[in-house]
Amino acid sequence: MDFNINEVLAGMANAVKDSLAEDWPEAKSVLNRFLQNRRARLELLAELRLNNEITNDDLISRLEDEKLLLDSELHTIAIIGKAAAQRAANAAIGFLEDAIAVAVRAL
Amino acid sequence: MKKLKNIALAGTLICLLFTSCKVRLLPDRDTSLQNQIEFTGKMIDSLYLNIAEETVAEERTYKKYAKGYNAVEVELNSILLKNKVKALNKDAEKIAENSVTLWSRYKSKHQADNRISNADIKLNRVFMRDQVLNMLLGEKYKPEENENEN
Repeated sequence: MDFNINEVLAGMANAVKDSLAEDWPEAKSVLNRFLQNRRARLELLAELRLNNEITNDDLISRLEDEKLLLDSELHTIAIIGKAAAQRAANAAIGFLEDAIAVAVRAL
Repeated sequence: MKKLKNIALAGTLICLLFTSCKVRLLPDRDTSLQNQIEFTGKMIDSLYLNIAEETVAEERTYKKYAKGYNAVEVELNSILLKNKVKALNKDAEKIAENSVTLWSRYKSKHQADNRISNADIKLNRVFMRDQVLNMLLGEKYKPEENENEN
């Protein structure tokens, strides 16, 4: 019966690596977008404050809104991370299942 | 003895094969919820564009736009509720909750001041747009239905 556990473990590790490598560029692009959006919001706030279109109290209140947005962004990133972890884990399990199927067929 | 070991190993492998499972950390992507989020984003944008049409800030009384505010609030509450009832969905639920909180702040301020400045229109549009983007991305990056099938 051909079931080499070391080969299977190495294959599972590669499946995880490939899956995560595929997901990383997406996560990076979302992170960049968040940073760009934050920068645009802060620039707008600074401009409006400098032009006296908003008061200091308004500015403080907007920074409270920023906290909510940051919290939401972190949860969005958590979703992307969980989806990537799920795909990676399932890729490893898929590799294991295929290896088992091959070993069982050879019985 | 070796034969016994092989039988035990084969038995274990067969059991593993037939009880194969998948790791599940998130609920399936919900395209109807994605559409609702997009629709709500449009409603918000449309409301602020309407308010901005009125050029005199003092004329932008809350009552004139109360229907629009409430319609958006209804959609945001519905999105929150749909997120709440799903298992493994704490992150999306929190994002939806933050959206409701942010919207309530903007609605209450307009209600209290009974006017809204150009600066607030600009800021509210940008902040809500980015918050809606969070809800959309949160839904978009959930696994597709077939990824969660056993």
